Amino acid sequence: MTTALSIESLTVRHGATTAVDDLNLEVRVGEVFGFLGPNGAGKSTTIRTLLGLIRPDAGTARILGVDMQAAEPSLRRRVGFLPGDLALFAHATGRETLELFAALYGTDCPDRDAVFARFRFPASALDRPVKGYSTGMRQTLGIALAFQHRPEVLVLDEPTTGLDPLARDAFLALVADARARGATVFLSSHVLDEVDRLADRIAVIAQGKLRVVDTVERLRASLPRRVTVRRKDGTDLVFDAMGPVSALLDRIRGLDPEDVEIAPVPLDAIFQSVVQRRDA
Amino acid sequence: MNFPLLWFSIRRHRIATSLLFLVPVIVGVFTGVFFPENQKDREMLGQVAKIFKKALDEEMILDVVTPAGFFNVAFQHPLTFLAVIFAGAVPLMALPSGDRGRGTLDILLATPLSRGRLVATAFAAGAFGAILVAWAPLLGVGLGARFAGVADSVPMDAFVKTSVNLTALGLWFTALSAWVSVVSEDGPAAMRRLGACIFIAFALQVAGQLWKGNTWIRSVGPIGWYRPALVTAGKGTPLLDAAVLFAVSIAMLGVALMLARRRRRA
Repeated sequence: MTTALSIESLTVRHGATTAVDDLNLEVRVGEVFGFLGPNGAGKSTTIRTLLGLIRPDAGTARILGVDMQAAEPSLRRRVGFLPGDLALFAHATGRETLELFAALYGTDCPDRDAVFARFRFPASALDRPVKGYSTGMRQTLGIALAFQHRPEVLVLDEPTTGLDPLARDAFLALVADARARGATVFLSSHVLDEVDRLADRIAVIAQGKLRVVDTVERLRASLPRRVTVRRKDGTDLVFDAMGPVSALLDRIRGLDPEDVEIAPVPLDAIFQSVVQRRDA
Repeated sequence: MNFPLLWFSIRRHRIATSLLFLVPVIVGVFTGVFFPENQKDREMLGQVAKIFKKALDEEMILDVVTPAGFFNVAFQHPLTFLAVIFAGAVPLMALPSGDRGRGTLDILLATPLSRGRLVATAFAAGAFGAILVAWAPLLGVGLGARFAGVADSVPMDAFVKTSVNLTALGLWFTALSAWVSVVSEDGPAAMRRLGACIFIAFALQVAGQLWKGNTWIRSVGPIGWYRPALVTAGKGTPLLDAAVLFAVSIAMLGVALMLARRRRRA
């Protein structure tokens, strides 16, 4: 099988509001897929529908070829999930929470220790109730719950919320490890920098509709580069340029340059361009 | 049913269940403490009971000056009812409705746990609490009677049958809690609905007692199928009453499981 996740003509309504509108998407096995969109775009609804937590009004959402609404629940063993608004059992200790979920998944947890080691999570904290954890510690525990049973598919909704820069780096390394062992990662995030570093392809959704699906490189190529030329007379010239590099270099040469800076198009510019273009 | 989640739920509510267990025990012990030991007190209590006999259906009132009648109070005390009801309800107010409101339900249902098994497990945790607390009055009465020095005069066999009946009543409210929890969006909403149901159950019982000649009203609610005074007097059918309550509990649990599976959102 080459398709890890497939969404076909998915429509989900919350009362009079259409949260997801005729969405079609396919994520390949082994891919890290970035799922982007502004607040209220329908990202979390799509994820909850994928996992069978919401029944769609129309269409299907499948993971590894299986509709989680209809499937035998044991198939969920192959999926790891981190919700966007992570809530844990406040009274339970971290260890009790991990053991409960290990028992619910009914599998060994070969990656649990590795996750905590990466995050430098103090082992003694696992014996304290979760209600005493900081936001970052809770998020780390949530990440461990998603990764600990070494799932084939990881569905991660805003996974780095509340993490400090070091923990964020640890998370990026964890996803890279998962990719290296062939896992598929469906990553919804507002932090475009980390999506840029991880994702093979991205999809942008706004107002429930899919706006674009492509590789970051191709999307970047579709937008102008920001060029800053410092001329020999000391003045700076800033302009946006598209098209072949040879034409751009010819143009710069004619400007009597002393120095040149060509910035890659940041992902947030792509994101804004896609969302605003269609809104307009 | 899922045993790891059952164990987790029981542990989660262990303090509430322990406190609720103590309530009927304390009621039973206090019954022994206040047992009228001299003839004068008994006669006075008998006069008070006669006033209530006129107002209420006579079959509901035993001769309270006897140990059997006096200790029967522990099985009919409102605190005993509430302790049994809430011992069953507390785990179900947390799961699924409370966890739905908090957001913890999503991560539970993203595991290989089906909605039906989740509700069945929460019911089992509630049933554990209800059964435990339903037998607490018997312990309290045993201790109280020993304290009052009338242990040999207390009809423990009748009280055992009453405890079976009380267990079935507890399971009825536990199944009702499961139903309410499945259809509610969060814990407070479930508590409001359950509170309304408990009020209606008690109102039916009171109406059936006060409205003479209309005892059938009591049979509409669950408490009408729990008649400890009749059991102690040797006139009741506690096992049949328990069977009726148990059968309705199973039916309500079945509806709760069906509704859980049919819910649009977890």
